[in-house]
Amino acid sequence: MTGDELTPERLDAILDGREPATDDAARDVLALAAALREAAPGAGGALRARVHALPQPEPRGRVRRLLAGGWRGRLLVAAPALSAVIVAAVAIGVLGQSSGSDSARIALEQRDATTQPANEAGDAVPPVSAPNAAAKTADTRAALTTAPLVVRVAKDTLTARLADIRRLVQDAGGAVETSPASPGPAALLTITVPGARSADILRAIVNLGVAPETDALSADADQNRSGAARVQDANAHVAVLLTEAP
Amino acid sequence: MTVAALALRTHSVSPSLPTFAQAAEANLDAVYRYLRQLTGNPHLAEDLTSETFERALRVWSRYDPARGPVLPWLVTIARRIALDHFRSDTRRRGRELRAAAAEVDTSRELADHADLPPQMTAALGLLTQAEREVVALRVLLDLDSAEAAAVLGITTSACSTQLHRAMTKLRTELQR
Repeated sequence: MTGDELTPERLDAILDGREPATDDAARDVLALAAALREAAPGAGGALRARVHALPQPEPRGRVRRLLAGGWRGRLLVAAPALSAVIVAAVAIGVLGQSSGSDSARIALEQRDATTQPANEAGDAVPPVSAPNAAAKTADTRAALTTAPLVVRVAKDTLTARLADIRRLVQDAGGAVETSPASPGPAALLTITVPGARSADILRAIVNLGVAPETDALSADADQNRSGAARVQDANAHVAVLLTEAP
Repeated sequence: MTVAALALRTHSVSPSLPTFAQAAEANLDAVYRYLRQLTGNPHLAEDLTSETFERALRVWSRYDPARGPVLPWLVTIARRIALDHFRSDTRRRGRELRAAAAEVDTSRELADHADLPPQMTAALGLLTQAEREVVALRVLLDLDSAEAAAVLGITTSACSTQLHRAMTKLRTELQR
């Protein structure tokens, strides 16, 4: 075999089996390779025993295997993690926007849809307190939110007013959950009513209260009236804190 | 639990990722042959092979089957260990030379080829260390040109040229 007979590229091809050994030079190369392999001794028993005696590493977990599995594996790990972060960020953002102030505003929008004429006529607003009612965010989340209303009723009438609320809501096709089940001087109600009836129900509930405080809520409702129609087909969820006046 | 015992537990192992025990069992001979060819010394090759698998065990979690078979990965470790050994051995010899003003016996390694056929030993003795290495990777371990070049840190073209030169020397020597 000389350089003239066998180029480096052809030698590679023959050793890799990409080119058949059709001439003497190629056959010589394969014979030489076979002789070299045959002459090369394998590991002895002592070495084999030493290597076998090595401790076994801890098996890898699935995530670790994926991380060690190149960019595809790392992508498989990163994609769900990134998705979870995005979902969490969106959820936190939505909840942050829709909690408290936003939900109160939505409930007031629903109420305002039917009470607008009275407000425009200058009627006093019933005794209702709703913190941060001036917030202005997306209206379409109305049915998913909770309106924190505080209704103060006359002393020793909480149980009777609670029964009134329950009757009002049930007549409208809704439901009331009370916490605690046997209220003392206060009760937290979770009311679910059809969006189309929610304004009536809320108005009726606040009318059960005493000591009107402010009509600021009415002004806020006026500003947000345009969103009221969007929630008419959905259920409204309203949290009402029913307390007895001192 | 030893490697040998764990090698039997193949049913619980993903086919894409061998256990260390499986990798060691399947590639022990190849790594030894590479180091044997590289060092020309069976005893040294045994020590370096053992050290190779000890180091491979420590970094086994870094092995990425998506990047290629386990043998080139093991050989890369073996090569680093061998080169480290050569560097430290050279320094040690240098110190001894300066201290004793004695001549280094450079024929020692060739004499260690005694377990090979004499004609093969003589032929291999004509090769440089780089040529012996490329023959080991391409012929004994049957790595393809790209894998061997990656282990050696050279281009595939340089790898092919080096292999061609080595095989030509061997063929010429063995035909005498």
